[in-house]
Amino acid sequence: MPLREPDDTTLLERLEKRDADALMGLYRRYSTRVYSLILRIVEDRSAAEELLQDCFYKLWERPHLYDAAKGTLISWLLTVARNLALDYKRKESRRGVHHVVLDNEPGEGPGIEDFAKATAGVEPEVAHAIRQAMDALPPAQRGVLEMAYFEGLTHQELAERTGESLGTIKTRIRLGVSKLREALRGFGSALML
Amino acid sequence: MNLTCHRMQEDWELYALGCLDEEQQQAMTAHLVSGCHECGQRYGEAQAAVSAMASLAPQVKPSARVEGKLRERLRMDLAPVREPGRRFWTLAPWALAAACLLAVIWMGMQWKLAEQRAELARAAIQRLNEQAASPSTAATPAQVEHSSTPAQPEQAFALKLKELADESERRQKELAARVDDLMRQVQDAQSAKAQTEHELADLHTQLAAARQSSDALEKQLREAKALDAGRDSQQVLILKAELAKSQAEARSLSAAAASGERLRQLLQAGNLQQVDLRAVDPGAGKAMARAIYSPQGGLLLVANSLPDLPSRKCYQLWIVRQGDPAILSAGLVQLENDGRGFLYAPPSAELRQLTALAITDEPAGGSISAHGHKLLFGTPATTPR
Repeated sequence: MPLREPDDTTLLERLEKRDADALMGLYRRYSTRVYSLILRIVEDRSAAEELLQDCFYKLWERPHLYDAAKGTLISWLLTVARNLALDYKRKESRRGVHHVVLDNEPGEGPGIEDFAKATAGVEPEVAHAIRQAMDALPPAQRGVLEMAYFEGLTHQELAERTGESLGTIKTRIRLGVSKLREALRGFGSALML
Repeated sequence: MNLTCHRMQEDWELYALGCLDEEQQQAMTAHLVSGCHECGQRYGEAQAAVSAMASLAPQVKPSARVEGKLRERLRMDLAPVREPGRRFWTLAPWALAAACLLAVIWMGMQWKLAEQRAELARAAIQRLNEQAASPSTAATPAQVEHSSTPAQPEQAFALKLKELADESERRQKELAARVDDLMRQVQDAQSAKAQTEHELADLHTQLAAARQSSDALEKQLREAKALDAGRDSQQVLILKAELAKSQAEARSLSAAAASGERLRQLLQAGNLQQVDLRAVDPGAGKAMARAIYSPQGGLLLVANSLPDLPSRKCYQLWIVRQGDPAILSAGLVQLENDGRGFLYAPPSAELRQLTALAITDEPAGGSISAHGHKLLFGTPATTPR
């Protein structure tokens, strides 16, 4: 009979007792999703790997910062990862550094073409629902949402970049997020993101 | 839902995306920290939708070396914390204890060997003494005479063995002394080790306390920032209220100026008539109004003491005339805060046929035909001048 994987709560309890294997268990469970988000934001494999380490190390160093009452662990990890990645990108941007690396490199992990394979078994229905909802948005609305989420632009920066008024940008964001929320409503508490 | 909630309710999506400016972001954080359940729920829903956007990123596995690096980082973190200068002194007791233990084992083996040799030597001396004392084996004088030469090597051998036994005993004693000495060193090393472990435990405790203090300070800082933001937010609210008041006053003055201008135009047009409207319904309270009009200059109505209406209602002025239709809308009365109302209707042919004016309450936005309560009513006081 195969051993059942311990759940997040058990691993977190062990982690608080300084059990390194518990953190590595969580790393193996969530690293692909966290890394994918970081890579999408910073577009640099080497930097993304460092930030991935930092993200999990933060959980190791300060496990109490995660509050289970406020959401799932993966949601918290993704928020931390996004903040780390956006901070990094802003610093790099101030230094005038730009990366264009998204193709596969020899000896590296799988690339973008492995999306379908990598997502298999990892809440594919959630990813599918979100993708469908995004595809259904008007291009201008989708563009604003993606720029805000993946590039961390403020509503003023978005207005400057798109040449639209602040009010239009706010409306697009509100409507876009509302539609995503509707698309996810069916998943309820089972939503892992 | 209070004013703050109402003001923020449309911004939780932007807040969840982190795309508001810093001041707004802080004010909303402060509001969340204040424990507003309704807004917390709105934010939670928006946050879930925003977090789900992460799944839009193409899924890529990190290389295996990241896991190795992270594990190494954790291993370093779990290793005992040492100051650089203390490294030797931390390791020294362990090394010394190990060396002493090996020495003790080696000397124990040497001691055993020496003991065995001494035992053998004592047995040989015993046998020789027994042989020398036995009569059957005792040599006759002749034998002694003959065997004096052969007996000398045996005695020499016995002496040699005795010397060996003495030497063994002496070395045994020396080894015993050295073993005692080494045992003392082992005890010292163990004490030093225990002391080091104790200091290490202290350092871990201090480190944990420092981390806790750091976390507590961070929390206090966040709370302080949130409070600051809350205070800022309150000031912004007060300023906004003052601004709204000033704007209302400006609008009122502007309306009064416009009325004055229209009155001037009316007076210039000549051929004026006046209608005083009186309350004809208890709902009108002490309201009264006066209208001045001329077919060439339009109509200007000023009302006073109009009772407050529910937000879904408005005051509407009607022209009663000789013609078809007999009642026509002249427009909605623009209300000011102090119960005053104004209305200006542009010049029109209908004003020539006017026989009376009436004000009714109608649904907000006005009605095509009068359905509300007739509140004020009046007829022209004079004939056209």
